[in-house]
Amino acid sequence: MEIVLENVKQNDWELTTTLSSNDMIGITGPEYEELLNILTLKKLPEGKITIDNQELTPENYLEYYKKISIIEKQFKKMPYLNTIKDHMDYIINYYHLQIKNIDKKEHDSLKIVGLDTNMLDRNITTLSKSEQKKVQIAMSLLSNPDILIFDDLFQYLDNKSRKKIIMVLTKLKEQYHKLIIIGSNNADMLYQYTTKMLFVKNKRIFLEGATEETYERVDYIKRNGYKVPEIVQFTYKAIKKKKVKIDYHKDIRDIIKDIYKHV
Amino acid sequence: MELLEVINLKYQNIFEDISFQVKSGQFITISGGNNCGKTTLIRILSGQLEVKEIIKLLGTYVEEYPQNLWKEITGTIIPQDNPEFLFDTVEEELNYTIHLFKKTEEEKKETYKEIVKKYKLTKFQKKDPNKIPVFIKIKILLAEKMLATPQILFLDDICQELEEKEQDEFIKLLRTLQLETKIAIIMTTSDLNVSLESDYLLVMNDGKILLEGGPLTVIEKDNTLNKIGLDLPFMVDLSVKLRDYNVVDKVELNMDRMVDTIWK
Repeated sequence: MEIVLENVKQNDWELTTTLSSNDMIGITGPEYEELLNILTLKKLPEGKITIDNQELTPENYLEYYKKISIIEKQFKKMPYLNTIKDHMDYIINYYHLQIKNIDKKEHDSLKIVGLDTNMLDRNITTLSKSEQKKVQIAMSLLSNPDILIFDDLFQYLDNKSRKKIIMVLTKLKEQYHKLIIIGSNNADMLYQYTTKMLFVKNKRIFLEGATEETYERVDYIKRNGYKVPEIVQFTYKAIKKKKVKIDYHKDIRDIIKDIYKHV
Repeated sequence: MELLEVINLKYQNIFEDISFQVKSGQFITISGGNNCGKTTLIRILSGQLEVKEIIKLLGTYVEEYPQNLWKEITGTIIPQDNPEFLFDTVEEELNYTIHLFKKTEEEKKETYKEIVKKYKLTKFQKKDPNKIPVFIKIKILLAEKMLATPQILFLDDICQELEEKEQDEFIKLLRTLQLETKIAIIMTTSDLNVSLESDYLLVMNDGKILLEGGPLTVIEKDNTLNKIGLDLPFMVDLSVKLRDYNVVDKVELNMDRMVDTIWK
């Protein structure tokens, strides 16, 4: 799965980039939510968008819109619907999803995100924030979307839940070529879990590239008001202040090994 | 005497045995992985969920005090409950609550001015309180709760809703309130960085208190905390691991000092 945006314009935004399922994509910056909104294709923007070599037109873009799922920051409970099952049934009906065995599909979606299947009849209001987040992801999987867009995936998930969800997303990306886009301002998490970063500012992409390469431009990132991941910041200080030859690493254990070699 | 005691709390299949004490003016954080019962605990403490012979206030079970007293001496904020503000502007919203607690016009005006300054609300006075950032909403809620001069604040994982800069401002604000009013603060948090700012830390797991003590002492237990799903603050994690290799001998929270210690 690959989306190519060329001179795309919407709500004062101007975008040219390529987003591919080869990467786990992170988007950060004060206005990242606006960009996520454009990528949901609720409205067809000006400019040229191609998805897997197929150019989007006013006639065909709604077909693609249906294949995109946005997982919002917070669970939005539907009025008059109470349980997880109510919400899942609603999604299936609303999108006219052709599912042979609905019960099985709903159970499987919950299982994938690490939730117990007997939770289906739980009222949404009794769920913790982390459970709500997992239910949101399970609901989005019902429609088998090609593109999953997360508004702050990491919020509310502890490290066990986070690792489980990242494992699921990695599998979706690698085995099923789904395009995964994560918007967040959590630099530590983005550095840890993404492979390509888009830094946005003033309705433009002002920096994009491999996650390590972009975040390792410490001065530039800082000067433009972004937070530098702590693990990068530490290595940067060691290199800058003490001229030691240690490398940037994503895993703290690798930093420890490097320090041990250089003290 | 302790201000608040929780004695052997058992609740449904969430809590098996939770006990702790809170002194006047103490800032306690309670942490744990997903679904350890953080929000439920705050609901129990605030009286939203009923328990008997569990919570003591100044040595007496809370149910033995006149009704509503608990509400008067405590203030609770649970962001998940997402309360709707009644008025069209922040100014009107605050002035209505001030009007409930202050008598003279002069007092009301002075209180309003103080709140706007202390809670940094100047820019938001004319804004719709239901359409402002979460952090501002939380500050308004806190200011309103504080007008009732409570002795204890119960806060449910508020920092999880905030950006890092906002978290710092919020903790500073809590510390100021604590110093000024000797209020006790009990705040749940899923972020151990936040707990470093408190006086005492409790970590819950499987319905029990797994660890408790000074935040730094507790957070050094890296394997235990990782197992239950909690991330260690980066500098603590780095210090603890470097200590295992005998590179440093104590936890260092300051990055520059850590670099200087390693490469003298």
